[in-house]
Amino acid sequence: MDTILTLLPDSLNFYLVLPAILGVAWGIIGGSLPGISPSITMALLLPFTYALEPSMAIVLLASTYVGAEYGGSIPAILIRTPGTNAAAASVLDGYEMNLQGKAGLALGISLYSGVIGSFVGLFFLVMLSQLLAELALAFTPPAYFALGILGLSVIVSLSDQSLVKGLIAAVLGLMIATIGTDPVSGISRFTFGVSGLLPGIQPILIMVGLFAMSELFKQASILEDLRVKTSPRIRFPEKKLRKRLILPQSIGALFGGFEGVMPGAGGTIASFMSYNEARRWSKSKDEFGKGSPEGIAAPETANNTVAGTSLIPLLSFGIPGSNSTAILLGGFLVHGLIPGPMLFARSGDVVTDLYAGLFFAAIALFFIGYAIMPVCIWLVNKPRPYLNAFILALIMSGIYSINNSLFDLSIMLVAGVIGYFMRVMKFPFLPTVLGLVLGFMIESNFRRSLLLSGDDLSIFMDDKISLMLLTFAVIFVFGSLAKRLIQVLRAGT
Amino acid sequence: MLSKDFVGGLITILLGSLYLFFAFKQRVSALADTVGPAGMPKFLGILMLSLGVILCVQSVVHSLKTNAPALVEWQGEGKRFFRAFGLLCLAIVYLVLVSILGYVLAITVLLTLVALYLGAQFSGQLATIAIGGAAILWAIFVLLLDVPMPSGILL
Repeated sequence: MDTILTLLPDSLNFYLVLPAILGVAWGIIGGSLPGISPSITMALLLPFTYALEPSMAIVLLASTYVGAEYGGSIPAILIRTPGTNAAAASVLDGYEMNLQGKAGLALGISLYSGVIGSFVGLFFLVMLSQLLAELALAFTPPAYFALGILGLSVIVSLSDQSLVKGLIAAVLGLMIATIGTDPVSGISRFTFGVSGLLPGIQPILIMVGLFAMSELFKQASILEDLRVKTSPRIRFPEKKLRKRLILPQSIGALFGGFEGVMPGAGGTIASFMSYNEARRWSKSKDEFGKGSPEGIAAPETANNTVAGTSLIPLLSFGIPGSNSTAILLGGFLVHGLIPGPMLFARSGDVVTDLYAGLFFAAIALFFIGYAIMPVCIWLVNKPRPYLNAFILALIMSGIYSINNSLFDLSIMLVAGVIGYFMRVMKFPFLPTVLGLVLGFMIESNFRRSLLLSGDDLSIFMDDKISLMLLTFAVIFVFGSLAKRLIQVLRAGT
Repeated sequence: MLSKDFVGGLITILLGSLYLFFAFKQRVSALADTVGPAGMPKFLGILMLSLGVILCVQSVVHSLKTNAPALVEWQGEGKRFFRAFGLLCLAIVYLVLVSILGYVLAITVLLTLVALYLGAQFSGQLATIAIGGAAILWAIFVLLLDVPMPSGILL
C-alpha cells in the first residue's frame, strides 16, 4: 500500500508522462506492423534512450512494451496476421468479427481489455517486486553467482524445440561476454589487438543485431504484400457486453499474472491458455472461433497483464524471462543500472518512476489506442520496401549515435548475420542474450567467491541465499526436464 | 544427412574449437587467481564443442529414424540467403559511403538503394521517401539529439 501511495506524487511528474505517451504510441505502431515484434520495436528505441534520463528511458521502453502488446491485435483482427506472437490467439475470433463487419467492436474490445490487463499487471508488479526486494541487502558474491546460475537455468524452459540448441545459444552469449578485459586480473581476452574490443561488447549492439537486423535480413528474402481493406473506427463495448466480458478478462488477468512471473512462459502461452479457459467457462462456448467477443477479451487481457508481470523476475532478480524484458534489461544496463536485488536499494527512485510511468502508460493506452488507429492502418498499407528501408536507416543511425562509432555498426551487423543464421537453423535468441548479460556476473562472482573462501567451493553451500537459489535452479531444471519427458512420452503413446 | 541441425552442429564444433584454441593461448598474469582469465573460456570452449557433437549425433539419429530427405529443409534457402546477403552488402556500402559522403547523403543513398533492392520502383514517391526520410533522421539525430554524425569530405 505504501508503494502505491508513493506513486501518487510521481504520477504528477510531467517528465514521466511524455515518455509514457511516446512509448505507448511507438509500441502500438510497432506492434501493428507484422514481423516487427515488441522486442524489435523496443530494440529500435534503445539507442535513443542514451540521451534520456534513466527514469525516462526505462519508462519509454516499458511503455513501448505495453503499447506493442495491444498493437499486435490490430493486424490480427484486420488482416488475420498477428503483429505479435501473443496476438495470435486474437486472430481466431477477431478476424471472424471483422468478416462479420464488426472490426471496430473487435478492436474496441481488444483495447478495453488491454487497458484492464495493463492495470492488473501493474498491480501485480508493484505488490510482488516490493516483497522480493526485501532480500536486497543480504546478497554476497556467492549469492550473485547463484542468481546468475538460476537465470541460466531458465534456458531449459526457453528452448521449446531443442534443449541442446538452447544451450548452444546460451554458451554463445557467454562466449561473447568473455570478450574484453578480464573482470578479475584485468588482462585482455579475445580482443586480437583491436582496441575497440577492450571494454567488451555492449549488449545493446548484440540485441539490436540479433532481434532487429536479423529480422530485416529475413524480410529481405520474403516479398509479401498485406493490405488492410477496411478503415474501421474503434467502438467500445456497451454495458451489457462489458458485463459479459468480466469473466474472460478475469481469466486473462489470472493467467497473465501467473505466466508473466514464470520465466520463459510469456504472453503467447498466457493468451492461448486464457483463451482455452475462457471458452471452457463461457456460457456461449459455441461462439468461440466464430467471432466471440470473449475470445478476444481473454487473450488481450492476458498479454497486457504479462507486459507488467514479466517485469517482476527482471526487477527482482535481474533475469529477463522474455525477449522484450531482455531489451528492457539492455535499457537498464545502458544507464549503468543493474536490475536485481540491489536495484531497489541503490536506484529505488527509478523503480518507483517505472511504476508511475506504467500507470500513465495504461491510461495513455486507452486514448492513444483510440486515436492512432488511422496511422497504424496507413503504415500497414505502406509498401514494405519503404518501411524496411527506413527501419534499416534508423538502426544504422541509432547504433552510430551510441558511441559515435562506425566500429559499433560493424559489430551490430555481425550480430545481425549471426542472428540470421540462428533464425535459419532455428536456434532461440533469448538464451544468447541471457548468457551475454549474465556471463560477467557469473564469472566475476564465482572467482571473487573463491578468492574470499581460499578456493573452497563449499562457500556456495554455506551462504544461505546462494544455497536457496542454487536449489531453485536445480528444481527448475529438473522440473522442466521432467515436464519435457512427460510430453515426449505422451506424444509417443 | 546434411539437415539444418547437422550443419548447425558442425558450425558449433568449428566455433567451439576455434574458441578453445584461443582460450589455450590466453596470456595469464602472475597475479591471476586460481581460475584465471582462461578458466571460464576453456570450460565454455569444451562445452560448446561437446554440445556441437551432441547436436550432430541427435541429427543423424533423427534422420536415420525418420528417413526424411534432409535437403527438403533447405529448399529455397539459397535464394533467400542471397537476398539477405544483398541487404548486408548495402549496409556495408553505407559504412564505406558515410565517411566519404557524410551522413545526409549516405543515408539518402541507403534509403534509395534498400527500397529499390526490396522491390520499390523508380518513382517520385521513392525520391520523396528517400529525401524526406533522410531529412527526418537528420532532424532527430543531429538537431534533436545533437549527435555528431560523420560530415564526410563535403564539409
